[in-house]
Amino acid sequence: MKKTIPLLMVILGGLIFVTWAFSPHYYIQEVFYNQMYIPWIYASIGFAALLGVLSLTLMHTNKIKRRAPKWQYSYFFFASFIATALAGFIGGTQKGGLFMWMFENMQMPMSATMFSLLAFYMASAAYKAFRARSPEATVLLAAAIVVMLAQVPLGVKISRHLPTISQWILDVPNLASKRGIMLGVGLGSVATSLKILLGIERSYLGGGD
Amino acid sequence: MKRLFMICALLLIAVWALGATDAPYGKITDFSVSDLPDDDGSGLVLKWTPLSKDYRIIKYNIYRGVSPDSLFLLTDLEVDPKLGVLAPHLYYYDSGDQPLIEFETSPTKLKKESGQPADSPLYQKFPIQPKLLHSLHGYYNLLVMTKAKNIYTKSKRVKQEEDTFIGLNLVHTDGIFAIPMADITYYYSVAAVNERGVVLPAADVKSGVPTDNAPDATAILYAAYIQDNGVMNFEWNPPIAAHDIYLWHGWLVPKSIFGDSADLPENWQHSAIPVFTLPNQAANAVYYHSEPFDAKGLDLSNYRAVLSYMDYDMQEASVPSKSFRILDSSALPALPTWKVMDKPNDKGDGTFISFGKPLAYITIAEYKNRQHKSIRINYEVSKNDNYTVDKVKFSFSTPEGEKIGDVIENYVDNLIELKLPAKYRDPRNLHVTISVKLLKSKEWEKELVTQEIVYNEYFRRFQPSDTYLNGVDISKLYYEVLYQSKVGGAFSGSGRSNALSRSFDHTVAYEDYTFKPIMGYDEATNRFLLDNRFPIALDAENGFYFDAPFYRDLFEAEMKERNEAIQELKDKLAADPENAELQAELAGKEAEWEFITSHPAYNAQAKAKSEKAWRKIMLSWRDKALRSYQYRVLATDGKAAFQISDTYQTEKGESWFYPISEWFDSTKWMTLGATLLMLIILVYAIFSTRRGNNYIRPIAGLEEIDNAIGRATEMGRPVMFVPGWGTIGDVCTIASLMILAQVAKKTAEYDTRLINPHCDYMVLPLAQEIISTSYSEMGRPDSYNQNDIFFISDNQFPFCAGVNGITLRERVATIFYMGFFNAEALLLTETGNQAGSIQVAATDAVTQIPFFITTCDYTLIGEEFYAASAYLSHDVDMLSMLKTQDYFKIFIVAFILIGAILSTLNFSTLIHAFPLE
Repeated sequence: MKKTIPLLMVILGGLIFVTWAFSPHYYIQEVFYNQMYIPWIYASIGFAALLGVLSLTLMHTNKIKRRAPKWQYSYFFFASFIATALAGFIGGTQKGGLFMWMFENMQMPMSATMFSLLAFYMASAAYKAFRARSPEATVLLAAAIVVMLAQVPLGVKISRHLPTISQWILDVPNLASKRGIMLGVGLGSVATSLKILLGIERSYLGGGD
Repeated sequence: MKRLFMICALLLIAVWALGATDAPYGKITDFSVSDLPDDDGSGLVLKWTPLSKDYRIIKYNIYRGVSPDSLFLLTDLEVDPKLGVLAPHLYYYDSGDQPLIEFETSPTKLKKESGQPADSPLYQKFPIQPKLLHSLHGYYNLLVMTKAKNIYTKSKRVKQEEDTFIGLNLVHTDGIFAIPMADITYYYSVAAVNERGVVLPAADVKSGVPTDNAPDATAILYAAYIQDNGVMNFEWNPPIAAHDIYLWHGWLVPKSIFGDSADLPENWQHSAIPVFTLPNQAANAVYYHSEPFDAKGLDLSNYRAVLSYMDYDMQEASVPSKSFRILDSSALPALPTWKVMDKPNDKGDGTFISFGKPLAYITIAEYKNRQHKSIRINYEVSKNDNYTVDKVKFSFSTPEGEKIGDVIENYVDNLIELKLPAKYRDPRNLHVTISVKLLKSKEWEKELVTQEIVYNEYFRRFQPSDTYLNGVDISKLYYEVLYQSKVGGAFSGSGRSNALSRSFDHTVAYEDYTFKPIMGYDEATNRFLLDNRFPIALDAENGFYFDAPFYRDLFEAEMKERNEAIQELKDKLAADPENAELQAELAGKEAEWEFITSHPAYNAQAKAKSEKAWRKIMLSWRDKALRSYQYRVLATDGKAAFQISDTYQTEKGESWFYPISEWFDSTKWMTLGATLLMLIILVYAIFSTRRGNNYIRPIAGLEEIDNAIGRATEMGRPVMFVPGWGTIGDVCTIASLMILAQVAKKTAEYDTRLINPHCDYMVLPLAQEIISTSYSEMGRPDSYNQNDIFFISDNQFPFCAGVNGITLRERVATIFYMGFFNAEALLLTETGNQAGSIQVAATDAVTQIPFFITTCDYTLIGEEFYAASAYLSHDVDMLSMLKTQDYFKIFIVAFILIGAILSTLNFSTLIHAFPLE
């Protein structure tokens, strides 16, 4: 019973959404989806967010209690969590307030820093990928050189055909392999959905059977 | 000493002078309010000089009130704090289009505006207080905006004296609009708000009185007399405040009275010939009117057409026509072949009007190479959902008629290439004839588009000049669909479209929000009073209107009164049978009675067993009346040479169209068929697998899961599973959780610590439950640690930083990245790589797969990711699903191959059988 009822709920929900995908009827698209489902989702987001906050708080509390490695950092979490929440609740989240100031001057630069690391990691990944260790890797290297050169003015100076070749690489072999993967992904997601809908796959209910 | 005294005095004078001349910091000083010209008396114009960008202003708050001591925040104008306002002045036009109260943002109590002196008259938004709002009655026209269903389901009947109203609570509204009224004084102020959210001192309160002005003489009129039909055509673009026009008048005026002036002289009506008078029943972008006119004895070449219009306050304006032509009916543009039908595959909110078959036309072209050997040509197809264009044929020739060549476009991608024979290289003019072939049709369509495309030396492009359809110039031909509802009373226009357009979608929206005037307030019930009537039907020809009150007993009483009135008239007529006035009145009343009682709504309501059922019936008929339309089509050259069709009728003679909501989307038959095929294959695969045919090809990434977890066990370090940052609604997240269940079983078996960070708080509890169950199933519930399954952040890079931190601090031995990833993928995997972790990745994000392949030890590509849970569990049913996928892939590949071959051979039926997204 512990799994049958949730399973039935999932199957019923799945069938409703199959109907939603195939039927443009007013009762399905408007009454069910726009007037019932979407507001329900919005209402549940708040509770789910609370769950996230509780999880985070619990984890850091336990870390401090257990004196887990680097437990001192958990105090930073609580300090920043409380400070941000208070700034938002008291001063509001509008531009000009403390909350937005912290967002723009603390979180944004830190995120930007993380993002900027990507350039270095990309260079190291490119180095790994483009080493001509095998014929396949050599083809990859050659294609990458052509595509990258075609993106800069120097490429056109070398040969005016370079952008055409680059575009062909992107439009034909690259797109063909991408579509192959996407086809597999699409089919895989349909199969997964069907598995859930037919009750074949139940591990998401918290177990294998 | 004397010098020091002088200097101090000068300094003091300077400080005083500065203090005396400077207004308080950030106060707007040149604020003014004036009447909005040419309007119906509901508008005022506010004008002020914006503050410089040094003040870092983010918005200007606008306050309005009916007395100078209490002004409420009405709205704000947002500005860029860095750039400031570049214009010398800022204007705000207040016509009541901003809500006075918004249920979601307005306070419940009066709140003074912050940052203002104690005696400031400024308040924040008008509070949600019905009594206070009621005090504005007489100062504004108050309108309530609410969802229509609130009126039907949440209102209460309120009786005041003899009248019954719909009573609606303020909490069931979405907003209240207060529209200024003519000749009432309103008070305004403006305050700037800086980047810190501080409201700077407000401008001094200024007042203004809206005045009902005469309409502006900006209408643009064209007129034509169709001499063989004896019809006068007027076509005009209305002036700005067209909703305030009550009557339109058409005139003919002798040219002689103009003299040398282009404007109408005073008292021009004295010598004018009236042509028509027309009430303004619908707000149109362009108005058309045809009036029979007897021009005998008039030399129309000596006349000019004039349009005059009068507003509801009887103020007039008039404009002479831009042109007045005398034409024969043969010069009128031909009406297109058209058809009206219900729009297919919609939720019942559209009607489709078709103007014939699709057309193709060239938009621009350019030489493809320096030698001018070929031309790359862009074209467009005017589509019509009733037809599918299969092929397009372009026949090119020189302006002299020498054929250059044909291009047949078998796949319509809006781009063709014309290879120029050596003889015709470097042309400057091309003549092209374009025809289309429709799917399932064996012949090319006879509607031919011809264009001249001319090379423009300046732009270095070919551009099309005029476009002809079967020899008729359609460059200056327009179509407009006219429609009227059952309670509309007049046809109104949809807006002109170019004659190249082949269809028009008329959106017939379901009733959602409604605006109703507030009639009063009932203190006892704390409800606002709304009009209780709604329309059911209209007989525009005879002027009969069937509208009903919201409550059944009122309707029945009304019908009884009507009947009694007829009986009374009959009695009077019996006493005075020759009284023509009584006869006419009785005939009118009887005809109206007949109109109402013969209406299906009347018969249907009589059968209702309850008040609720009665209202439901009446509202459904109201909906049918509001959303049923008749259609006409108009063809015009834009200068009064127009023709209007008769009202469209189906073959069965039906002229009213009510949109139908379809239960099945017919474009998805192929999708449904494919899904059913997959299910059939699945049944076969289940039988096949249960018979023992359960071989699946080895997937290296999944084979290594055991080894990777074993390695972590040997090293005594934890395993980390990162489910990406997809939501619970994404299939890839669910697939990821399925793999998590298998990984958790292994870690439980080996008693290895499993860390599972999350960025979606909806996925978190599910993951906790899955891991807990997996540990229990393996007999290790004690090893399960809920604190290792936690939420980090729902933000991309903080999540990434958190995971990277854990990777380095905990020295994680094995990391699984399974789910949806974006830019953070490489940041995560490179960190893992540097930490020496074994990394297994799986994602359906095509853009991230190369990064995973480069930096991870094993990567599951595409469908391997979705196959993982079946692969790991070895469950027979799941394996059969995996086989189904592969069998189905055979079908897909077969279709792709057949489609590619057929398309190469120019057979496109198969391609068109599949829906395009």
